[in-house]
Amino acid sequence: MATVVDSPMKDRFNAEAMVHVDSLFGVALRYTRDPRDAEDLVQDTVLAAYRFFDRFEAGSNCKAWLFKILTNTFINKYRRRVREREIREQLVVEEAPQLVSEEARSASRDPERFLPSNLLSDDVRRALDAVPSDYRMAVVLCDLEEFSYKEIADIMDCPVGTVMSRLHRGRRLLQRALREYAAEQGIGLSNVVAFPGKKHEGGES
Amino acid sequence: MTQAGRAGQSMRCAEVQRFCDAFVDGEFGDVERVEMQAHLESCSACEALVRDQAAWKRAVRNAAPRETASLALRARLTAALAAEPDAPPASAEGLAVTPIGPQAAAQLPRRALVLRAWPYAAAAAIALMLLVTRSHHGAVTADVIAKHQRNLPVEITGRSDEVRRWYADKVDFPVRPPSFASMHHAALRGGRLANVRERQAAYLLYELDGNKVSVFIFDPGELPLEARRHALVGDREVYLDGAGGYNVATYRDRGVGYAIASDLDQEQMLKLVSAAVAP
Repeated sequence: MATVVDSPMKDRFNAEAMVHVDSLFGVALRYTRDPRDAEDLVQDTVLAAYRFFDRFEAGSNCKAWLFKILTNTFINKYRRRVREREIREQLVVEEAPQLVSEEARSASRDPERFLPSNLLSDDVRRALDAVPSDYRMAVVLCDLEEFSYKEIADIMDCPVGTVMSRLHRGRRLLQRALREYAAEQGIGLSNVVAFPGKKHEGGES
Repeated sequence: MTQAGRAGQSMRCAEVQRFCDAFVDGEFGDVERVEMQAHLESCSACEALVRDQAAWKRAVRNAAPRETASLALRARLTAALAAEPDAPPASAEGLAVTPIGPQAAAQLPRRALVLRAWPYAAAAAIALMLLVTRSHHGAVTADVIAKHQRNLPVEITGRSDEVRRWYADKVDFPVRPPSFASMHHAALRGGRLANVRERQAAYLLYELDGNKVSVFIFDPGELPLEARRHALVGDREVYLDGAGGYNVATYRDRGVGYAIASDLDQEQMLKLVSAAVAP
């Protein structure tokens, strides 16, 4: 039986776009590194997407389309703010004591647990946040959201070659940061990673 | 553990290092993947490299923080959407943020401009005298069209006076964004710094009834703005040039150069200029 739908556009938007709000927020948070900015960014993205929804080709990749709007909006509207904060923070971070999560402390007592397969969520968040935004965006889109290189190139509006170099650089920076955290916690993570089968004798420093 | 064959395969090893990420990310085609796997079977160093990178990727993905949108955010979104019209027009007024990327721009319908969108055509105000003068290749035209096509991201969005203030300490000529006041479908979408030839320019992006319009404002200096066709709009000399389906109108106003690019036809371009220079 046919039902009368008051707003077919909004129903379609809810069904196709609003299901991605958690993903959008997660990536917005990694982009902006600030929950309030992330929420504003998601709201700007969703409203822009709705206003352009009549131009979205039904059946094409809605998630990639939304992330393109999110990324564009971040670059155009938020990135300068984030960069200013990054510069300010760099000055502070040098002197700030390194905070080590309780989970990481307990993990450090058992070096065998510290293979990269046992990374801690707090450490990954901290390491990602330390990667400059162009590289961070590529890593987040590839490793967290699992977009293809071609999709990322479209989302970030750059050639695939640029995606590859940003991804490469971003990952190396991320890995270096995670190794440094492990070293701070007294674990020779780099040795473990280079020779995954080798017994590691390191303990707490 | 064999290191044998490494020297003989140095090129291959270099390639593996270079494309290790792409392989781990599943970006290889079938043929390349088979070649890569064959190499990895014979080269323990490359095999370890690939295994490590795959382990890192998995580990980062598994440990990545899982965020969820708060109920407060969801409520905000629901409220914001409820305030939107059910079927948004393509050129919604008061658009806070416009996704200005190639895809968004490509989705702007390239429909022919509907003439009833020009209620204030002000045809009488245009002393239209299209004259054909000597052929003159427009270097400015080519540059302006190239930039118009490129969908440059904007650096500033906002009302005309906000955009104007943003430029105040960035360029050494006054930036007066045309209001196109007589065209109520024209909306300023944003601006950024750019160049026209070697000269610094303010680039303003407008949307006019679904059509993208780029306005470049610059100190013309010695740049030749003249083109093959020209017309008088009021007492102002306007030059018209085009290439690849785009048209460019150039003119001077109070010593400042203007170049407007769009895919409108030349008659419509003149109406646009007429609206731009209207007091």
